Amino acid sequence: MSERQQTSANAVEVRNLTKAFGSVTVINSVSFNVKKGKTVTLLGPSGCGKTTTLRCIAGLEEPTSGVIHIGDRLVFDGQAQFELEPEKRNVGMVFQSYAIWPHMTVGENVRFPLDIKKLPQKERRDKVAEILKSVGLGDYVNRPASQLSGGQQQRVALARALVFEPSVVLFDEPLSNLDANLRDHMRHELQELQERIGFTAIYVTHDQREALSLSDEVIVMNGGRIDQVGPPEEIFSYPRSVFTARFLGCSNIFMGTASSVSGNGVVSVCVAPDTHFSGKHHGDQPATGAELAIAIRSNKIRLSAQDDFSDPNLQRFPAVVESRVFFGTYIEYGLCVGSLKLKADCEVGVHYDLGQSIFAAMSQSDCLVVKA
Amino acid sequence: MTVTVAATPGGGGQKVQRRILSGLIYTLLIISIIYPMLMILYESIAESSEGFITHAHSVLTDADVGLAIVNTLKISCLATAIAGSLGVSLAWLVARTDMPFARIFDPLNMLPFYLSSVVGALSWQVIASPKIGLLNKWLEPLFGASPLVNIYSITGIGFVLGLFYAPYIYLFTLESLRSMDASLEEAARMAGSSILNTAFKVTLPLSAPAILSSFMLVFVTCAGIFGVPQVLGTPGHITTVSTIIYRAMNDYPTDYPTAALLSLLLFIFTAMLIVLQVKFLKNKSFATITGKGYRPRPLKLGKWRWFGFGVNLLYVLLIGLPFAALCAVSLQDAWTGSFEWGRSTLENYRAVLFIEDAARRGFSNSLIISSLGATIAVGVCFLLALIVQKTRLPGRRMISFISSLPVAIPGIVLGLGFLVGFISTPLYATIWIIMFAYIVHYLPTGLSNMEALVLSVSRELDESGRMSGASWWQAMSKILLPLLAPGMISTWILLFVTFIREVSASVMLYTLGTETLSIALIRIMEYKPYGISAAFGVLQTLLLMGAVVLLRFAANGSADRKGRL
Ligand SMILES: Nc1ncnc2c1ncn2[C@@H]1O[C@H](COP(=O)(O)OP(=O)(O)OP(=O)(O)O)[C@@H](O)[C@H]1O
Ligand SMILES: [Mg+2]
Repeated sequence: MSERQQTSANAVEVRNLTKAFGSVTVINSVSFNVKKGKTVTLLGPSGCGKTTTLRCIAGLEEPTSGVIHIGDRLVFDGQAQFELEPEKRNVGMVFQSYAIWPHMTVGENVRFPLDIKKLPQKERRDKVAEILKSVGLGDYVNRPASQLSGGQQQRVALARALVFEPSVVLFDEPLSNLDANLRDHMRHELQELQERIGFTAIYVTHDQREALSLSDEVIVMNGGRIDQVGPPEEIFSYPRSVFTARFLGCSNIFMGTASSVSGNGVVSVCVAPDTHFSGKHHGDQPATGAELAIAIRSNKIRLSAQDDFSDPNLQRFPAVVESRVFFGTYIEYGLCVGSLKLKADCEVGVHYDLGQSIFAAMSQSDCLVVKA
Repeated sequence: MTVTVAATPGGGGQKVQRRILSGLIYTLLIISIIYPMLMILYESIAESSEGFITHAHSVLTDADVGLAIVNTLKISCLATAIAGSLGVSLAWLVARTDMPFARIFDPLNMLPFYLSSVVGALSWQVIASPKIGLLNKWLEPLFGASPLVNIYSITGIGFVLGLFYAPYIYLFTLESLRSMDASLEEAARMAGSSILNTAFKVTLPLSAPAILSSFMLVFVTCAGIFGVPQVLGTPGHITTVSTIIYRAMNDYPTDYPTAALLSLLLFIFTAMLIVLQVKFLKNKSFATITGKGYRPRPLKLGKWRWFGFGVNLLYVLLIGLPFAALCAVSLQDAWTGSFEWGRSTLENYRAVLFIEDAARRGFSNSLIISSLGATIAVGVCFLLALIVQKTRLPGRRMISFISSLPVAIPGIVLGLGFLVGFISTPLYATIWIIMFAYIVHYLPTGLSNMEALVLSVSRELDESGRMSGASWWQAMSKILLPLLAPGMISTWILLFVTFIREVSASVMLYTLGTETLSIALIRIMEYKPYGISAAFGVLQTLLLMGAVVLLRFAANGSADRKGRL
């Protein structure tokens, strides 16, 4: 308990949360905090345990062990066998399927939490009208909920989760059922709404764009464990592991060993008998000979027919063009560098032939040294 | 509400209450399912005067018993074969081909499901009894043989049962065919396979697990059935296991040990088949059956489509024509083999409705038992389904398992178990013991329906209720209950209809004054003119049809109001 006292600014606190279904452990000792008024995103591939984590916080799933606090209240303690019912946790939730009750109107759906609380009728009406207006459904109070489009259902679910002013709102991939345009639109709306109302949110997604644009902090999960935690910029710019690097779009990842480590954070990594990359590492200084990996984003690799790069500090490698795929705004070249395969994005208009011998170059700071 | 507490695990006090709740449920299940069966075991072992082994030996080597067992097997095989070939071919025609009027045939093929097979047996007597049967009357002059057809035979019993159990197999096959990915069939056609070849090589093998398990169910049901063998077997002295159990109980002095022993045998036989069926289904993969929503294009039968039409029409006529004949008989003061306007009368109906005490008691008893019983059963099954699917109550899987056991108990066996189990309680000789037995016997049907219903609603719908601040009970009653109401009404109708026509358990439990409708019908057939039985049968059928139509409307109405799900 002593470690909690200085952290009362936390809206949610999860300590060593573990959940097993039968003999399969799907969440393994996960701990994190969510500060009041902030948005934290759980990001990870399908099946990594994001939904399960969220459901444990909501109280819909009984964790195997761990401790969960919401605000100042203990809601789960595995050791003490204490569990608070979901309805007593004062948490709102937007489900992936929206879970709009088809036998009620839009107004009845949104009013439901207030009916349960038995607020005065007038207050119920006012709050429903207000929240529906702020999600842009002001005229829909009497619409049957079974006649709504996906985007409208999403808004109703949001209104229902916010109307009773819960201390935390949980989102389980709320945008994943929408088409791409609507998804962008709703993402903006969600952002605006949060700025206006200022609720605390835990947001689950497997879409890195959503995670990066919506959150104050991103928690990358892998196989039931937390891989890395940090603000979006940090996660994106300085992934610490191969998993996070790959999940956040680094398409060139090479395993190797540290051949030399210098004091200013520059590490030279040997990835093939005669190929070395030197890159920047962030975090603990690795030892020489440690197993490491180099991660390079494909849009950070520069190509040239001759070895005529303007910046003399670039590392450069002779390469042979192997494949060429057109993606509209850029062209992706597949290259052979010695025994390595490299992917490089190149602006449209520059053309290399298949089989042509060219040069690839990248700066030290774009070669990220990550844990293998 | 104790159930509220059961919903979520929590501190110590709740743990105790959850234990109390599950203890309560187990006690009720044990009293109503396990105890009656144990009583049968006890009766057969402990109550025979000459000792169990000697008694068992003498019963099992008795020639009458042997004959009854053989008859039972013959009848069940024949009924399953007829029901199977009818059910499967009609389902294939309706679901997969361009047979004319398939949409009209679909509900008509299900009709016997809602009718009583005892009334079916009654009406087939008009057509095919050796002396007065219309077929014999019309065809004897042509063929000379006499009688040409005889419904009072093993073939006759198997035939009527086959006709009335075809809808069970039809329904299973239809559902399996409709949920199957049509591209599997289309691929076979593209590979050059003919329509029939595709049906036999692709379609049927793929739905074989579902179809075979429905065969098994029909076989087991027919092996334990009492009504039809009693009605059609008595004139020709044909016995089955269930009718000799009945006789052991009704001869003087009542032979409990023999009845109990035979019941035990019947139960073991049925249970073994059910276990086999469950095992068989478990090992089959249904991977080919996808939930794709698009309707496959029907196969073009070409000139054969009118043949298919003929086959289906024949089935409908085999059900409908005897019933029409029964109506005709019921409107004549005496049946002379053809309808005569001069002999028209409503006297038979008057007798059933106003004079025959047994008939009138049958109506009122059955209406009370069936409506109240169906209501209680739906309520109990709803609660059990919620406990099994929506709580973490310890031992909830076991609750589901015990509740499914009565599927393996034939009605007459369960009836005997209730009789010997509760004979010294105030329940005995009331309509309530009959209602109790019905509810227990159809608990598996009701519970599996309810569990399927509960599972058909995404769990996020009630979970979002919890997240909105509703307690477990509020989420169940304010969200789940209204969503499930149309499905619950359908289950209610199904149980009501089943209860109205139930014979096997009632025959063990009725006493003078507590006759049910079907029991009264069988009794009246034994000692009253045929016209009165006919009128009674017609009235029972009208009651069943009326209930179905009325409640279908009610269910549709409430489903419309609730909006699309
Ligand atoms: N009720 C359950 N019983 C058994 N296993 C479960 C259950 N619920 C989830 N799992 C398993 O737990 C793991 C994590 O599931 P979870 O739904 O949390 O993943 P997720 O990260 O939300 O994935 P997605 O992005 O696909 O939604 C999965 O491997 C899943 O199969
Ligand atoms: Mg998920």
